[in-house]
Amino acid sequence: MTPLLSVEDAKVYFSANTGFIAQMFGPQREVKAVDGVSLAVGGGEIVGLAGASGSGKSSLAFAILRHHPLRAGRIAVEGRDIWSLDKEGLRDFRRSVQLVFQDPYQSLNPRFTVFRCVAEPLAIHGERDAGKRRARAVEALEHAGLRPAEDYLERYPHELSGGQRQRVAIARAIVLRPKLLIADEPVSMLDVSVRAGILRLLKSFAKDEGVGILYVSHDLGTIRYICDRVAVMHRGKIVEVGATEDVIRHPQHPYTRALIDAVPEVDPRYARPAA
Amino acid sequence: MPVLAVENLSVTYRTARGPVHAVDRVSFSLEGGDSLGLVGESGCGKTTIGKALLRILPEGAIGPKSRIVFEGQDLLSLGANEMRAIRGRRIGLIPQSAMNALDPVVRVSALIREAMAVHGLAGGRAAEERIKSLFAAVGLDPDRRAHYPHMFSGGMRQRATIALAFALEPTFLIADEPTTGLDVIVQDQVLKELAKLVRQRGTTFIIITHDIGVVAEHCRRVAVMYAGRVMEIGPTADVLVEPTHPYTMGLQNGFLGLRGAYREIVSIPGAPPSLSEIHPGCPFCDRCPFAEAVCRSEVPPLAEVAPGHFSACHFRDRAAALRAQSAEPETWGRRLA
Repeated sequence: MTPLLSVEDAKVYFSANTGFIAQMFGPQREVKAVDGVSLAVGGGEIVGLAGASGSGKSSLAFAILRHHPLRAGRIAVEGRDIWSLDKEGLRDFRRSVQLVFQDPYQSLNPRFTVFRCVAEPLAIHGERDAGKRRARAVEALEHAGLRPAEDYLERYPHELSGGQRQRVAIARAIVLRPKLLIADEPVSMLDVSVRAGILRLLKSFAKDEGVGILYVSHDLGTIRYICDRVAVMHRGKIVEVGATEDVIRHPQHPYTRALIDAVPEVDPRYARPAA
Repeated sequence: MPVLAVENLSVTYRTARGPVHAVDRVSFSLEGGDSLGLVGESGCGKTTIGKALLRILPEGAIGPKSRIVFEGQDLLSLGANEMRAIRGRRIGLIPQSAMNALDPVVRVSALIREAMAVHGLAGGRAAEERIKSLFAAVGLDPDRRAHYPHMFSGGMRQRATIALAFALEPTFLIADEPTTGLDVIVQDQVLKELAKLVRQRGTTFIIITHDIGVVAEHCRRVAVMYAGRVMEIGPTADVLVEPTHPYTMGLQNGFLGLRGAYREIVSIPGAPPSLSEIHPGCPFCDRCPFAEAVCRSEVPPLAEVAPGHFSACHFRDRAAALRAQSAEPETWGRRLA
């Protein structure tokens, strides 16, 4: 069976030459942000992409969104190569792959009401009927846990708490009923007491509705909670991939071990090994 | 005598929309060499307490009955010049988002040299030597001391702010979210450097953070704050292993460790109360699954439950039973429609 998302030996390189002269005439130096990565995400599956800053995890996420061209390799959604789509296919792709950003303070337009934030994608994708747009926006907001949605529609992002804003961002992402959701550190800006709600929400999209989720984060604690499988990235390569609980309990690669060992332990009874 | 004694500290911000009671009658003290973690969610008042200790709050924000006694001096009665001699010099600060705390157009070494000169510490070659040894102590290459902040990575900038704080040899240090924004591996390294420095110098310190893990590993005591009040304070191991306040229990449920068994994540339903008025009862009562009538009408006093361990809950005597119940997701879910 074709997985929802398949990444095969993908490479994303960036030019490391700065300045016009160096770009034109200097020796071509490159940063291999993603250097031969293969990964699959099935419908209803949550796959974690773990790694430290600069490991290439966000570059890979953006490559899946077609924001970064590939140097080599292939990325396909529902079996269709995202770089050889016709106009119609491209529109489908943009509807079925959605992104939730890290910072809900920056990802929502401060001059848009909640309704406009959530309904905008519908307008872009050709929903001309205002009544239907409203109904879909209400449905998405309630789905994202903002109930009753009518209380939120006319408010602005600055009137909402961080958790509520992230729910608006999620409502915006799900309003088009995507098949694949890419969540880039979706809870790292949020307080602990509201994190759980957002994570449970993402989990329910996967388990109840079959949405595939690529969960990008350096926080193994939340990855452990939400992800079925986890892939650990280091210097542009996946160094370890497996069932989450297996990887966390029995890391095989030294880098995975380092990532796990760096997490401070919350419970004094499980003091971590001293360095 | 404690190095720092905070008594009855209240802070009210005057805003266009009316007063905001950010800190409400908070008391705690630290002995020399002690360490305290101030934990709580956004808006619980933890950063405001740090600012009060340095007296960098707007004029009139600190309540009239508040007292902050540092090394025998009442900070709130000092003049501006006397306070300036303490700020940074005797009470050091590692600011929040230290990533942006360095002046982008000043070389890091010049910044540190200026701070030392202002306080009449080392100058000239002696200052340069001090900066070199500080750079080495925080894990930075001393040869990069004259670089500009933009030439440093986030972790390096963080280390530079730590070097800056220690350059003035404070006896007391406030670290406000010292590693927020760094990835786990860099966070771990930076915290270890910081821990080594405070240990070597016997610095008394407060870490302000929302990360219980950081406190669990680095602070001897912890104060859990909510809506401007201290809910629970005590030795870190006691508070985290046997919390006696339902808020602490709820907060812990949200933390996902890697070393214990897998468990369900449970969030506290609802949101913190408005801070525009003083609450007649416990500020947590609206979100607390164990709240009863008394919680809404009477402020629970911060009372001792074990040696050095205080809790502001009317039902602190039933803490063991509440802990068992609070571990069940249904306890918190019931209130979530």
